[in-house]
Amino acid sequence: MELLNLIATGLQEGDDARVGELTRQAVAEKVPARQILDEGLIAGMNVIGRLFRDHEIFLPDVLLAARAMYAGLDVLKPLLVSENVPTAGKVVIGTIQGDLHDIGKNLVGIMLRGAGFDVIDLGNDVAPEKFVETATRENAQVIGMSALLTTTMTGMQRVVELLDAKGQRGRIKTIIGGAPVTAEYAREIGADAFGFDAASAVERVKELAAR
Amino acid sequence: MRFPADACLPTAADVLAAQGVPADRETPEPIAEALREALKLFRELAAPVGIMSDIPTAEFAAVYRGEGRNAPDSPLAAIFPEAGQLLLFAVTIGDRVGDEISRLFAADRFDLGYLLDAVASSGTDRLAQKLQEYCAAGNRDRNAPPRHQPVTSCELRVTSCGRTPGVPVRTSPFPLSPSHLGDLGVLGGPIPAGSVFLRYSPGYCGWDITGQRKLFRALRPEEVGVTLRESCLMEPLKSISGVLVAARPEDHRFDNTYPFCSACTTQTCRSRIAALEEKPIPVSASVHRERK
Repeated sequence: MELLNLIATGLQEGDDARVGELTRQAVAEKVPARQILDEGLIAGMNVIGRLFRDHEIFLPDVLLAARAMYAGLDVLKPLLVSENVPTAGKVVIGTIQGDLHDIGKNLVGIMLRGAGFDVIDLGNDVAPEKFVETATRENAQVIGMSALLTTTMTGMQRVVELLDAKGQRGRIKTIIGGAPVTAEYAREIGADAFGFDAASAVERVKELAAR
Repeated sequence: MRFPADACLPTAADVLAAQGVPADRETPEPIAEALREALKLFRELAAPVGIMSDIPTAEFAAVYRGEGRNAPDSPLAAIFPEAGQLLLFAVTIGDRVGDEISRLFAADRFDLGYLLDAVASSGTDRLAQKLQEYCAAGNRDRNAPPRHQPVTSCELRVTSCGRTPGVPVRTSPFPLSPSHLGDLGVLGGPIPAGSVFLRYSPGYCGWDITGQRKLFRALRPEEVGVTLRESCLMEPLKSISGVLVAARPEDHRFDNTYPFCSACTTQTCRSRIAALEEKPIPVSASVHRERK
């Protein structure tokens, strides 16, 4: 549909005013909210994610696109709720205890929302217990943890251990990331995935949520 | 030391380069506009301040040793015993910029928040670089007649490790000129001719981040508002601490082939070493992490 293509294009251009306007137009033309979301906004963000992964665009471009995505989502949100449209999944994210760096975690959250996920952001300096309690209570599929310090990385292992102890490890998947974190460390502590950057984190979460 | 925000204001090109944006790429106007706004916010909110303290080699050896978690071999371990002077330092741009970044993200202005964070990171790095340059200028001018033209409006307090807390050993006249920084040589003894300063920080180049604890005990940067958490995280977040090492340029040269180099995503050591010399040092190995 031409209108949905225009939404996706406007999003890729980071034109938030146009995306908001086109989304309102699509709603007025009775296009189902789910279709606007999937074929307009998420389709546009998927292109952005691919271009970023291929180094053709950079983080400032991604954030402009995400801002345009939010302009469209603001219009759609009440409809998505009233029409009971399911999300791509629920993810609990946060920066691990002892660490206050949250820019990377924020980027992951923004891009996950752009991919249609329901994101619960616990902020920074989050205790392992809080990750597990929140994910269990909210019936989340994935816990995403970020650490920027080698001294705080151990908290991630604690989350995996707590999930194991509560018998939730298979049901709630874990993904970790941050400057000192590696795929090898993820394997070592039993995390289900490693996100090299925000774009790859979103790809891994999609895989985890689909399992 | 208190610097005006302009002293460490990065250029738009510096900020974009630090984000991996190629220099020849045309910046889309919405990004350029947000970047201008971020730079304006930085000028309004940043309160650059720093503290510096000379430290004898034997005492620094204990600071460097930290909690015994350093890499078995590191560039700093090889350089510092031969250094002409060692100066512990900490700089920060304060916490108002960080507060504004949080506010912008909470208000879904994440494009501006992210760019302000990028500006703040570049600005903090520039502040540490400024300090290194002033030390270099002071070293060059140590035996030269005093200059009448100040290089910047900057207040300097040079202290010495082991002093009574809060009591400065020497307070420079205001504003600062390079010749005042030449006084640094008096504290630590003569600096060999031809020496240049280069900075090293815990958490990088094999110096384990837990080294922050002894560095903080020796330097006491709490006096300028920089504190350390149990996890060795500095607050405000936009802070840099470490040691400035005065040594011959060739002593500062090292290849990025240490085991820990393969996990380093920045490789900023290359440009910093290159800046000490006229010709750039080639990268000896491609060690950037691949995206998976």
